Amino acid sequence: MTANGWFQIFCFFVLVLACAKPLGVYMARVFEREHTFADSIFRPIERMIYKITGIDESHEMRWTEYSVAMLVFSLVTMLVTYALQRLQHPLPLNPQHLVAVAPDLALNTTISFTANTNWQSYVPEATVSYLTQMMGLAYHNFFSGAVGIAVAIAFVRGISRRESRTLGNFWVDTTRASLWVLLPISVIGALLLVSQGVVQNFRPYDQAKLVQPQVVSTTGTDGKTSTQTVITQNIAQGPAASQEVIKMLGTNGGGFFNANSSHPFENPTPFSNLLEMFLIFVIPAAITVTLGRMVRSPAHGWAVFAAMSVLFFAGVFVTYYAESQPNPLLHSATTNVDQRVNAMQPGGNMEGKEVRFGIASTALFATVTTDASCGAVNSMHDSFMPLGGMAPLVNMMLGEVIFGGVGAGLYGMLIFVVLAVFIAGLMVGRTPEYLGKKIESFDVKMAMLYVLIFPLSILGFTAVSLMMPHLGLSSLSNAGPHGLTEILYAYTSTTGNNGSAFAGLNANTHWYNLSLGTAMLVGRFLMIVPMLAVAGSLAQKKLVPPSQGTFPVHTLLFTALLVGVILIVGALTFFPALSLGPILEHLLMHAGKTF
Amino acid sequence: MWDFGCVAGSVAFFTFVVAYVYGCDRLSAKGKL
Repeated sequence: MTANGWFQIFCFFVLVLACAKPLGVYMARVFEREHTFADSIFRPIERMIYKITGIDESHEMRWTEYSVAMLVFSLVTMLVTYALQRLQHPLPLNPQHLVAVAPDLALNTTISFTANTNWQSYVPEATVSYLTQMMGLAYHNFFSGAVGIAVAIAFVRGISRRESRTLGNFWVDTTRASLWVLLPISVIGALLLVSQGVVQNFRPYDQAKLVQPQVVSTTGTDGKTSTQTVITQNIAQGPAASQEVIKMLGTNGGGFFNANSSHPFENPTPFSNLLEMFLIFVIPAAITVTLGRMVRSPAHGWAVFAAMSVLFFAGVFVTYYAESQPNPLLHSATTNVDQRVNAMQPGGNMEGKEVRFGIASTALFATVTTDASCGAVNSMHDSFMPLGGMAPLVNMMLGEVIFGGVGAGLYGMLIFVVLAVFIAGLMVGRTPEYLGKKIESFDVKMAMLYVLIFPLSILGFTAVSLMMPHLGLSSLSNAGPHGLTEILYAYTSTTGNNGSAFAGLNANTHWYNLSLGTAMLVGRFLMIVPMLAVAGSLAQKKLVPPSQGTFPVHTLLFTALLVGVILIVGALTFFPALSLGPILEHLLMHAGKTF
Repeated sequence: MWDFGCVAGSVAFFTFVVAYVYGCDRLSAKGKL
């Protein structure tokens, strides 16, 4: 690790911290319908949308109606995107004449984008047309993010309202999240990305002649190997900048190109790399300020922010430390490779990393993208050292609450807050209270349902894949603990709605397309429902005046308890699986064995 | 055939989640949750 590396990491964090308050206050004003500086621009457009769509802005919804509206919206948009992929070949904006996407792959992709996951079992530049990218996938990048924000705001209203049966209006919240928050930042961000060299056009792919022809060996279906000399290369392009920005801002993560943010047309410079990481974190960080403002306890919002920050720094430290260490297998007597940091090389493990970004920015990006359920990558996580690869996996296993997805991170964290307050209440022998609301049996049962669905999907699907070799192991590239990590990572990423891939696993098979698709649906919709049930229950409660037994939720003790609850739940649930995967791989690597 | 299965499966899943929403609500109203 170097001082320069840590300086970059702290600069990034200070930038996020500086923008959290103004954006958080702005979002609170938008969702509380208070005056903002942008009223003259967006308010007329918003009114026009309601007029055209027939939405009654003043209509308030119970948690059940709010949930059903969210489900209907998600199902309808999902089916449209499925149809778009299956019919892309006769539709316009397909200069490469790409054929229809295969049905199981189209289903996996449409679930993935609807659930704000953006897991990609396909190679974008060789599979989906510009129209599918823009109308199907980018559309979901906006609206799956907007749904996440809307649902989080509904939860916050559940906390802030007293003796109310309603949580707001789903259609109004989703419109405001996309129109007032996501769209304006996306326009500015896209222009900044274009200024850095991210491509934005509708041209067919260019062909370049290779300076040095390459000889490629391929094995046919009959098992025979043939060689071919390649003299040209296709240069894929398209409307990337406009999708890159919302891919980050909406914590979606699906790359316009297969190489995602390690592709020079998606992420060309160190500044674009910083901007992309900033876009991932800015809304999840700011929404903690929105929480504090809407529940009239700004210090509580900052306490939640502090808990997220502690876990973020722990993750980035482990990843950066692990990746900056020399690989012990390259230090044997016969291959004594120099892996120290010096003026000529960054040292440590550079396999799978972009030399443009180096180890610090790569470790930071991997942490940010897995903390925030984004899933964009600027490196190959499969090439990390065993413990370096474990850190992003653990970030996701903790429930995607370390800033988390837009909205999703906050509501996931608030479920842990309910559990932390409940545990604190048990410890002092008082009825647990959260900001003046009594936490009762129904709330804790729903919170536990939320917490248990997550590992059930991850560990259940991983176990089934391992027990059925013809389904789960046939497309795996690595054996032993590394192979286990690849499968575990896939189901963790999809259930957590992250979408990053560890690589090494060909997931474009019937089994993986369908099972990973199911994991994404479970991780999104089966977890939102109990969370909204808790919100509906909290909204109906009376406010209890603070007493000596009230656990304050704005103190250092609260932050420490919250971090402790998250770590204990995560460690108890996933430690056995981790010990058979990356931890065992780390120990075997030091014994001289790799996979 | 695949298209029909994909669409029917999606609709079935979302129908199940809607039932899950109202199931939770009804059980909590009856004090059984």
